[in-house]
Amino acid sequence: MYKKTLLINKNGDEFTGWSFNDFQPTTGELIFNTAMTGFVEILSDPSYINQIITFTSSHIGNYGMSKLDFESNKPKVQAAIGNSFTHTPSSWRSENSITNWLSEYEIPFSGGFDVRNITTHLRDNGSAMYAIGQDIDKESLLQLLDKAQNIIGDNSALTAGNLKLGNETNGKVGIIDLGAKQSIVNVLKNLNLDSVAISPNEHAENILSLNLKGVLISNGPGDPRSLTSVISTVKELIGKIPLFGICLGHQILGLACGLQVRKLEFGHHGSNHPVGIKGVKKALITSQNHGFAVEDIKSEIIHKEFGKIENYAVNLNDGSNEGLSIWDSMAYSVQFHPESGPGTSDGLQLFEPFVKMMENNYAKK
Amino acid sequence: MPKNKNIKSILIIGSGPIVIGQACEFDYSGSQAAKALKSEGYRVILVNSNPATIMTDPVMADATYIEPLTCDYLEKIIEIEKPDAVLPTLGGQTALNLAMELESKNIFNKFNIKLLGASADSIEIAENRWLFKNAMEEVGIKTLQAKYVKKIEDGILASKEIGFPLMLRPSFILGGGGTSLVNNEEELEKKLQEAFIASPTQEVLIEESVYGWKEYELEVMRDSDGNGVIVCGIENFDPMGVHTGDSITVAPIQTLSDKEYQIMRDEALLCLDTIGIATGGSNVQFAVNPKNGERRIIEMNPRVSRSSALASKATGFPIAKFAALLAVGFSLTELNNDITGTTPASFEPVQDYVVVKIPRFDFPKFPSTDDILGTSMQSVGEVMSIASTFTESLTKAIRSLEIGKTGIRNIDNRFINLPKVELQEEIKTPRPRRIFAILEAIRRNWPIEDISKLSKVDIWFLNEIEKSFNVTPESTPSSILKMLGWTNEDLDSLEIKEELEKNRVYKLVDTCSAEFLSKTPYLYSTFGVSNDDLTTKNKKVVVIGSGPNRIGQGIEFDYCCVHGIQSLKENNYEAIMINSNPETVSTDYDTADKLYFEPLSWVEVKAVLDREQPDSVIIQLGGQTPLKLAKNIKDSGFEIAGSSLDVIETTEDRELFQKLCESIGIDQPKSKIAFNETELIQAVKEITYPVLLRPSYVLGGRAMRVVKNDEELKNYLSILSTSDEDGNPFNSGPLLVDQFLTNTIEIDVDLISDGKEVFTAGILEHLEPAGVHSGDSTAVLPPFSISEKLIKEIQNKSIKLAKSLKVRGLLNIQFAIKDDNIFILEANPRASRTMPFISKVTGNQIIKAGTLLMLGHSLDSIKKNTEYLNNSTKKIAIKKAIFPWTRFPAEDTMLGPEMKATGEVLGIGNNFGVALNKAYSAAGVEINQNKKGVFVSLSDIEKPNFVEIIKTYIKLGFKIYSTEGTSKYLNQNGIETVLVGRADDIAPTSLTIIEDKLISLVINTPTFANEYTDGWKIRRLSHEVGVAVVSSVREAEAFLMAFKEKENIFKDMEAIQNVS
Repeated sequence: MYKKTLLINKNGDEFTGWSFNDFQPTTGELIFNTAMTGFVEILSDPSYINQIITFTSSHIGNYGMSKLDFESNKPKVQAAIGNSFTHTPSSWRSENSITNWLSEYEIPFSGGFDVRNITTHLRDNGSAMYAIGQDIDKESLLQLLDKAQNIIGDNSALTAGNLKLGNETNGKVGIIDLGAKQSIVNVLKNLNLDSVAISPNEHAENILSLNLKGVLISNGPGDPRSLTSVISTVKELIGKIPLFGICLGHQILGLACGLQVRKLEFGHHGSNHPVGIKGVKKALITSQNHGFAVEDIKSEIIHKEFGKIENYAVNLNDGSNEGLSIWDSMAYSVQFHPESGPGTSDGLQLFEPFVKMMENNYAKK
Repeated sequence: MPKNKNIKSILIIGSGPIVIGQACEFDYSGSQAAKALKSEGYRVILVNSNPATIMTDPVMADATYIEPLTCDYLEKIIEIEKPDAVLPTLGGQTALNLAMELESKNIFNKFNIKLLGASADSIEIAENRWLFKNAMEEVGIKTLQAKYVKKIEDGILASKEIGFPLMLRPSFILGGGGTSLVNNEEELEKKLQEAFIASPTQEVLIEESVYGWKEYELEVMRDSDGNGVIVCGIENFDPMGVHTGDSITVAPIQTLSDKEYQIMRDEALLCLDTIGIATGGSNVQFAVNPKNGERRIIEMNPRVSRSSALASKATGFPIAKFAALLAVGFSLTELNNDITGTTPASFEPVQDYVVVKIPRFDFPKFPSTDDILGTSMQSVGEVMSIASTFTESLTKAIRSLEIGKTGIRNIDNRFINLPKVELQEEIKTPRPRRIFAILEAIRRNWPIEDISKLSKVDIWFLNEIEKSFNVTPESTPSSILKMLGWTNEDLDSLEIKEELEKNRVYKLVDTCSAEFLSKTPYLYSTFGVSNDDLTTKNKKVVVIGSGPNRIGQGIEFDYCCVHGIQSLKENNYEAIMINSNPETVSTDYDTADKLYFEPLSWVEVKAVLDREQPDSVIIQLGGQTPLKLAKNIKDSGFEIAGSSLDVIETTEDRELFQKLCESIGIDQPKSKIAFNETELIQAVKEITYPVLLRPSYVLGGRAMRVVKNDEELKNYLSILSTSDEDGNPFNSGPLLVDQFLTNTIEIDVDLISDGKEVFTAGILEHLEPAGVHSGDSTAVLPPFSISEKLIKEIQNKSIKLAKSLKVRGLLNIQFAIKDDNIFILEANPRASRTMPFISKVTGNQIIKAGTLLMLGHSLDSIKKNTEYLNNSTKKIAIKKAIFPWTRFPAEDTMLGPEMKATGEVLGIGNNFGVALNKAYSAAGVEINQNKKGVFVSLSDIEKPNFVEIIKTYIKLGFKIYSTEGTSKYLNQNGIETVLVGRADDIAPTSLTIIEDKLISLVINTPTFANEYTDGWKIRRLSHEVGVAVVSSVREAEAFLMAFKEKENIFKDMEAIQNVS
């Protein structure tokens, strides 16, 4: 039997869907993602911790679930909603249906929503905290919302990481693991670079003593501004070792340079965003997933410690900042996901400066 | 990169007549391109031989040539216009081939012309199978492994290298015949032997078989900066083995993981880079093994294609427009996404809906052809639907087909009682009806795996459909019901029906899944809670389109709809379009003020009307499709624009029409209606042979035949009964019996009227004898062989009829003249196939004027206030029909009362001879005087009639070839002939002389179409070689005029902007 799914926020905005499976009510920041493939990658991406994801794609999970697509060890989203979830997938790669997989981890999900209605609402009113429940009254959901931790100030990135890469650090790339995606490790591997996970709590001097080739500040969930210790760690690393920030890592690099980070109205979540890279003629079609953005640098900044800080990339849809470069200090970052997973391979070339910097710097040692 | 300023003028090559595989999608792409380039300030020169196109409207370009698409004519146009550049990538394969031919003749070099979009080298690589294969393998993209062999041993060796299953393709067989699938070593030797025998060169291509693999197409846009985006990925429901044009296809891609999709995307872009496609749109086709994801690139089209049009409509992304702009140097990052108006074009569209395309076929018109689908395209049109799930979309697409089906849940009488093994066979064999066999199997609860094994259709699609059969309306939320493809017609409960209808909302196709605000009202209906757009209180008019192209209802009617829309917009009405055909200009996002992409079935149309509450609904422009809705529209209280329902009924009801004609003194051929066989026999007795027979309510002359004796009558009834499941020829309604007038001249009249005054738009004389469907005949404007007096009389009768019918809007009338007596054959109170052609030649915009007449404007005020009707021309224009014979090699090319043409071309000149030359050239038949040979084959009854004309041919220096019977007769009448053998004799025979190109005209009066006679072979061969065939003295006389004017054809070329 179909059960009615209720999704509401504190302003009384509500949406209904229909679900077949049983789940417990929960809360999260409601966002939408326009990708048409890559459901397993998205659901297992730790950046989505504490978020309820709305898939705008008509069908979700047609080709099932494969561990090959995992971005972490399990689904990380708070809940997933959409139009139609596939219970009976079809693909030679499929090990399980997405619906079984989500159920096994007791992740709420529900189809039957007017997804365009939700997307339009989020677009026009901004993302917000929502509660989702099944055959449930509004009051109970509102009570849940009262207790919910808002995305502003959310520091879950400190505990989101779960990369298992061993302890050997010599000659490796250190990934400050704020909920890093497996794809980042995979891309580095393809570039003949081994990685090791670095805890967000690690001090800068310790990191610098590990004989790493470079440090990658990973993606992750929540509000970057709440990660003050990580920001000061990164500040100490700038100029001392090649640094590459991705997504949350980009925002942290920005904050470490004294730039402002603001909350976006409804964020960028999808696999089709065009980005222009400074000095590159071709636009890249990129994979994006972020609710915060670094301020745009109007004219170049000369930082007294780090040197020249420039915009490195720009979102061609809305002109927002998509990257920073501090070449004087061997550091740069991008807001999107050059490692894809899901998304196009257009961004892979963005790892090249990192590799070059590491080669040059490591050779000098 | 900004636009190229070294170029001032650009020649766009069109795609010519509508043929199978190249239809009105190229009118859409050419129109978009012309508009885009013109608005960038380029001088646009356009050439196309197809008059029923929007692209050839004078306003679309600076100089438009409706001339044959051959190298010679193009060279002349280039000489006159001296363009700086040629854009060949928007006119289908025709334009691409022409560009290659011009290149090989060094024309571009000679006139210092730049080829835009694709270089000749890259076209060559993309089009040449081996060059393409090598280029792909070099960059690591896998192609089908293949090898040519000439010996059995080599074949066995090759099979070991490539592995089974294999395809054997004998070389040099027309139309790809003789292809066979080999599954194992045991079969190999025997099938190889057969293949060697089949090939005239004893050579066979052994190819890795991907039959049954999943099939995908990616539509790619690329600019000169190297930016590449995938506009749309399409997955075929029908797997490899069925031509993608004949397959049900789905967008976006449904069953590929992100990893698999991204590799395919990388390869598609790499493919374009490798081949060197500088700019524009291309499509790249892949096969994927469902068992392990292995992938092969199949082909790449270095041009805008049919799939591009579909992708464009499926996503809203204007591929053709951008292809044109990219070709002149713009980059994707500089162009704005037209649909959102705010984001750049350099992003990849996403969909939050599912698009399903289903092709439409017309096999019953080609009775000698088995309707098995294969690698050569046979469909004549297509529908597209947009909805929230695959199943809902499939249902809407089925509704859009206009074949009497209301969705996936209909019980299909063809399969309901079919034994299991037969149903299995139906599912295995790809035919147009296969989807309905699959639905029947799902209804019978067959295991999905079994259906998938038989059909090779991916299990995901079948699972989705099955969901629909696993629910009951009582226990399922109505929105879910809708999502699963349930329709009003599937439900008994009025309550649930209303609930379902209440949930209907309209969503936007916006390229971005609502991420950005979009300003283009391109809408589809689905279930949901919110609408994406609001309706206005403007004065508004809904135009109902013509649905999928089919023989008898094609691009001409879309042309009329577009003109109707333009007229509405020019006269300050809000113009709202409803249509289901993705190939058309009418469904382009910027044609109407608002576009509803919906099935043209009553439920959907009513929903739009209920929502919009238009001031008026136009049903005269979309052919027969909207007329069928007339009664429903009126009964629901909506205003039908122009002629009332009575006019439709009077012209369609034989008795009413007969009465009207009698009362105003217009003669009709004798006619009767027969409801059963006894009545039929009685009717034939009264009218006397020959009679014209047809089922009532038909368009395009379906199943219409001239019957000359009892035997043919019996034959006709048996043909009708085989197409009916109960074997009763009268099941689908009565038969109409008409006196068939022999030796007549047929006339078409198109007019517009406000109910009081009449404007005669044009009078056309047919070249072929009576009995050839008007859509198939060669029509001449103005009449060339009848007296002024008769023309006047025809005009008077037409006016009288229009006035007594109180026509407001358009009227098409067909007359036959026999011995200076005028008979009316039929009248259609709607747009006709010939109106676009008449508009184009005379310059009078009769559809635009007609649209205003429908809305109550008077002819007087239109003449005063608009420029629509102030033109005239002195040119002679000839429309020639184009036939799909090449796709149906088993068919007789003889024409009859059942329409078979898919398209038309126009020949225009200062005199009849020039115009006929051009019309034939445009149709691919060169009237070449140098050959000086005429082959004559006459039936006994016709022999005396031809003596005079043949003598004239001899006087002009023609040699007459004929077989024994005709020769003997002609010799007796003092005509010298060259005797040739019959088809099966030793050379020279009637066939070898045509093959050896000794013949410039075949005069052949057919005896009744018994299949595979000599006549059949001669007609088919003539078609294949490109020799004209005529069957009447009139036509033979007309050809004399054409032969005389051969030298003058190039002297007489003018842009149509100067013609009227």
